[in-house]
Amino acid sequence: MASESGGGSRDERVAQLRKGVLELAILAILRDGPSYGGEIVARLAAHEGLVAHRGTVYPLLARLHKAGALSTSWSESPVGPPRKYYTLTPAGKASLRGLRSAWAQLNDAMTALLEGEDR
Amino acid sequence: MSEDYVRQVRKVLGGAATPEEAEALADLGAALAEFRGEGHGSDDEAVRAEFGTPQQYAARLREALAPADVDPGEPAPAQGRVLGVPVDLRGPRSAAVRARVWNPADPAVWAPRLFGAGWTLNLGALAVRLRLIRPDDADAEVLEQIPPCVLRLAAAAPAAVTALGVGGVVALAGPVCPPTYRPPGPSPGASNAAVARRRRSPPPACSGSAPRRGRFAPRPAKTAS
Repeated sequence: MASESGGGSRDERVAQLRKGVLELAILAILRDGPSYGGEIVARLAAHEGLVAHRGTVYPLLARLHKAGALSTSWSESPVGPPRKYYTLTPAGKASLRGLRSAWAQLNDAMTALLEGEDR
Repeated sequence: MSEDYVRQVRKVLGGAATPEEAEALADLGAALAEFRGEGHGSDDEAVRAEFGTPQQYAARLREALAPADVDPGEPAPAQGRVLGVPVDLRGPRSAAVRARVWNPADPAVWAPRLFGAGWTLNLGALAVRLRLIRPDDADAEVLEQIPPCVLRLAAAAPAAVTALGVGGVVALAGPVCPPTYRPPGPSPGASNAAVARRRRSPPPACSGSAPRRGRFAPRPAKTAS
């Protein structure tokens, strides 16, 4: 998570950029099926650039749950305390579709803009 | 350790004021237990590195659960559909679901029911059609301009009107209630002579016409033909 150089301000800017995308990333992970907090954090960490601490992910899960995008259920864990599983609701699937197309547009626009800058 | 951490977050939040905050704190306790179970034990430093300080966590939670995040113009759609009929089994727990019954921005008068199958009235659209309000009268920008104390007063108004209405109904219903039932026998304080006098006196004369037959008037005696 730490930047090689540039100090905390760069980290903060990157964190702000990532924050808006993390919600979409969580919805995309849950599209594959129900998952619990620790697993979601691990799956995010598998993608460089999407690494997020639990202190960031759990509040986002609470927000998505409050917005009706996720439903929850408790399930016993084979190795520890019970886990809370998050599942995409139809509203969450609709939200994922909407955010996905918005992301595609944004990505195209930003890529075009940044490539234009490079020339 | 996890209890301490949760307690500190709760303290920063000023107590779990809403059910969502209470649930989020319970989730945090479970998340900390899970984290400890992954081999981090009661390492305070590891917890702070992963979850942030209690102050940071509380700030993120407050930001995530802030009412401003709920856009009243975008209520949640129905949970699902059965043969084209919207079905929702979540109930009106989330503001996004409750917003279906008051969504002036949506011209559709019928919205999916808050709980169960079928539709319910979108009172916001109805008010727009009746020209009582305009679709954008209560959007987020307008609400931001209203002082919180005025919003609280407005929220208390329905309860006050209900109390006034109930009071009015009770006041109006009072006179039509039946008078206290008095048994036909002598009143406890009446003397035997007064009772006997009352029994002897004839009934009050009516104004020339035959006595009106009411529910309790005696039937006229049948005459032999």
